Amino acid sequence: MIRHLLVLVWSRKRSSALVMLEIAACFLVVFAVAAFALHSATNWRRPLGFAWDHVWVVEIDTSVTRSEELGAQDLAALRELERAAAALPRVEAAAVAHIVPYEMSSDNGDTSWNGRSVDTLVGEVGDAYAEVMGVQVVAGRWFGPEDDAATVPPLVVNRRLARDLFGDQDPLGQVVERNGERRVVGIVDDFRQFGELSAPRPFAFERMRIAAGLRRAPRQLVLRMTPGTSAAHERVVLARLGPVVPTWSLEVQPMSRMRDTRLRFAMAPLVLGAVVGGFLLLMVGLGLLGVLWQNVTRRTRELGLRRAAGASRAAVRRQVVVELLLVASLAMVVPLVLLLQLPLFELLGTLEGGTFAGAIGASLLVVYGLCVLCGLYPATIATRVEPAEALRWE
Amino acid sequence: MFASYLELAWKVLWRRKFFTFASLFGVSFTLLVLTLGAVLLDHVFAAHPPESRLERTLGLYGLAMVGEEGMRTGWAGWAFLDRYARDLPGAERVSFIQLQRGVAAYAGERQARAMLKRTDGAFWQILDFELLEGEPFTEEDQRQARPVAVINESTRKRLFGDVAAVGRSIEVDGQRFRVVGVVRDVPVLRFFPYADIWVPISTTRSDSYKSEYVADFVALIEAPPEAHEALRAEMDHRIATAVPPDPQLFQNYQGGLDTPFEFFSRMTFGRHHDRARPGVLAAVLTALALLFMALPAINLVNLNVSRILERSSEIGVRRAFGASRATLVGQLLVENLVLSAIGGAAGLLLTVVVLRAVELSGAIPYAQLGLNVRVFLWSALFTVVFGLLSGLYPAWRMARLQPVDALRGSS
Repeated sequence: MIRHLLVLVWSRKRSSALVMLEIAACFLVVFAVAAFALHSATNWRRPLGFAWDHVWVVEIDTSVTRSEELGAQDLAALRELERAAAALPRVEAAAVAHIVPYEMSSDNGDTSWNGRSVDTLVGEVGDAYAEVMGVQVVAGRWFGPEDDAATVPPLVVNRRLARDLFGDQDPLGQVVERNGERRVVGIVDDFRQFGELSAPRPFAFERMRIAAGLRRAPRQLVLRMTPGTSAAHERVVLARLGPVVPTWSLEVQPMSRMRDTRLRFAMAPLVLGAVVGGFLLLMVGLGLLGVLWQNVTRRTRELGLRRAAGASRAAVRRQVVVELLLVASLAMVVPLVLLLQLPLFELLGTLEGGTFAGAIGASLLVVYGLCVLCGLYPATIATRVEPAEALRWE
Repeated sequence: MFASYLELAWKVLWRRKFFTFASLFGVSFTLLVLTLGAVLLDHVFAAHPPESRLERTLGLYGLAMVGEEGMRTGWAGWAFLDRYARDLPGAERVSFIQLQRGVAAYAGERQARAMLKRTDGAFWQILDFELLEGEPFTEEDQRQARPVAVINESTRKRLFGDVAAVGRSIEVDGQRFRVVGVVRDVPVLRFFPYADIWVPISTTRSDSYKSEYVADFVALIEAPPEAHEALRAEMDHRIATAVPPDPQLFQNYQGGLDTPFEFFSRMTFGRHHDRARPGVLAAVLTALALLFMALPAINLVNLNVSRILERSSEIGVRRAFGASRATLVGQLLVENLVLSAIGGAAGLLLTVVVLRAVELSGAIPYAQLGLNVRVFLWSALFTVVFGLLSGLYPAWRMARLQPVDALRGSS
């Protein structure tokens, strides 16, 4: 049956060429949207590695030039600022940081061990950071005063970095190269700096100790607030901390607001893509419906002959739909082969195997579904004509 | 002749309402997306107030320090601009602008989040802000470090309600400023002039910005268009010969004078900020537009082919009675253009509605996404290209139909 239909499809290849081109293009569009959506959905369900609610961020503009070491006066001011922040009412913990989640900027560089090198995002943070941000240590320990005496500075890595850099070996205690030697003391969950919609990336925490030799001033102070603290408290925080460092400027905001901004940025292309893709599909659907309608009408005589020879209405309807599905399958061969080159040549970047397969499956489903939907109505019309009428058809 | 074509086209369109609807939907939706794209590009890159004299301005927008080990990408620092961009021969005015950052602003009990930008007196002369009240601050204010501020309309509303603000004071960043002027809101996508509050650079509490070479400043340079080539060459020469302050880490600078469009393409395609390559960006945008148009075009061609095949007996009669191929092709193209025109009009209407919705939703702060003449002409061009593109193939197919075959109703 299928082979017979294939012959039928092949004999009309010229008139179906354009329809096939359209289906192929449509398939690619659906694939792009589906891959993007699946990628985002997978990321959304992954653990974030920190808790953003009840965290406030104080931006510190120290106006200290980045190329010089911090002076004794600046260090004293920083220490005093951190102490004053921890002592504020409704603040449960406070820590300095050089990068916080949901920021647009990031720090990255290579971490190497045993001849292997991994591009790593880095956050330089104070000892209380894990408590403030709710970072879960899964092995080893977080930074503490015991690191003060360490000759090799400590490093805490996330699961992804541990896996990428060390494979099966135990990362704890290993000394890696990252702007000098650093010893891995702990592993945390998959900390994702860019938030819910981002893919997990290798991440490492360096310890920020406010003491002589500090080369970079912290850019933020993160505060863990008592749940239920209102926004009006922001001004209290500024009023209490401002006088501690009169020559610097401070700015406070809840991390939830940074998260909103970040998510809005990340969601915009997704929503836009889905809306445009949806309308494109609707348009293609209407177009296919029109073309198939006309195609089937032109074949009324042929279909009438089948009816006259004893085929039931259902059989004729099935023939029309299956032929259409065959055309669609042929049409999708070329784009499918093209798409399969992506994983073969590792052009995917951050797109994972499961997402890729899922997106292919989803696009196949959508295109076939669209074809069945658009083919059923014309097929029904074609079978409604009586065989005797159909044979006389001009 | 043409009138009868039009009449015929109109009748044909009404005869198959489904086909007409499907085609119109495709045309208007595609135009909607393309026009929205054009409006957005126009909004970001074309000359609009306050950047109305865009053809007279160049900017040193980005700057990178490059070394063997790595690079630091960002914006120029004050020290760099002061040394290399201050006295460019041929420049009429030079303004230094610090990039805006978020602050909390207070006026009495009222509080508002605002973007604060520090700049100088020349800024207000190079750019064309619409003043609602008072005057902008001057070069003298900048020299004397007077605590004066210009605020925009929305900030005035948030901090003072609907009353005049000039002469009143606001507290930003722990400093008090006297409001000297109120200007019309600047759209957020006009990145370099955009802010809610503008104050003199010299009011910064610490002087450390004066020693930075790569930091958060940009320079705007005004000069007659014919002097731009010499200016760019001079700046390129200065950047090529300048040596960064810490030669062990970084040995060279990269950057140059750009228009905003050139800067955008430099950010996107210049791998190390070395060249602007605006042609590449234009080509990519055009390719994207064409790619996006491909699916609707194929769709429309398909619909048109079907419609013609359905009318093959009519065409057969006309051919048998002596109508030339050219006549028939012409007729079909006219039909298509009529369809595209109607679709175009519907698309434009839709665009206006969507733009208004985007403006009201506040998704892009202070955006004024009007459909101006330039964008309208773009849409008209899209429509014509679309009509021709989607009509050519079916017209060619139709002209090949043999009268005998056409009369019999087969192809």
